[in-house]
Amino acid sequence: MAKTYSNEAFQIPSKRMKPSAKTVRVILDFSKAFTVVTYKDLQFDSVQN
Amino acid sequence: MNRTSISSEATLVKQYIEGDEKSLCTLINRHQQKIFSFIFSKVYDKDLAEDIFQDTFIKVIRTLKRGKYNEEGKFLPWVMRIAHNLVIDHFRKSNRMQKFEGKGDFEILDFITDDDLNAERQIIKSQIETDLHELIKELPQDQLEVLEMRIFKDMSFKEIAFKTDVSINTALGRMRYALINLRKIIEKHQVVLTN
Repeated sequence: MAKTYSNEAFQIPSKRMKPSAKTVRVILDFSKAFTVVTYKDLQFDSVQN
Repeated sequence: MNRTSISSEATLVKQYIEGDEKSLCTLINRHQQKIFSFIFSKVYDKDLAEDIFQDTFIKVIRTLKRGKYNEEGKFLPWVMRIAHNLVIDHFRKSNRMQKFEGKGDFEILDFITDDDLNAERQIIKSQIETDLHELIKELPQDQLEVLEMRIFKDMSFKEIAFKTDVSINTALGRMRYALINLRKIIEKHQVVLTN
């Protein structure tokens, strides 16, 4: 069987991998800022500062 | 996952929709490892995995707050499906996007394409697709069904198995035989599918 070679370090996925705290914080901040306003049959997305 | 955790999951989702932001934090803490590892196992790039993880939850938040979530307690599989679709979107985009490697000898002409050639390629591509559609009609119905769902509808084998009421292994086997038979059909008709 042919062998394959690579110069790049191969990152083995770890079962314990987690997103960074910063990424989670961005998601939670977005969630707090994001609201949906309903007007009659319409829905408007809004992101508050 | 047992019944209690499914119901508590549903409760957390319900509480979040009703405005309890802490419920989202709990859901993320509970599933972040599984979702992030899944994304990383596909893209092998930590930064990219962070981006896709973020986009996944932004989609989750939008859907939940718009009141369009109706997965009835199956929160994690739903989020995993979103993540999976975003990974596919990423690979589709990166295939389309031309990369510029920062070498010294930048050649602008390398990045300007000829529209006429593109039109020609598009015609060839559409001819290939038409030929392919004709060829796959010769496959047995069960194999044709799996191949169409996988290639044209971009469904996962899990979804195909569920839709066709067979096990995942059967769906995989049908796909394998569909490809083997498709090669035979191509050889039989002496068709060249390339541009």
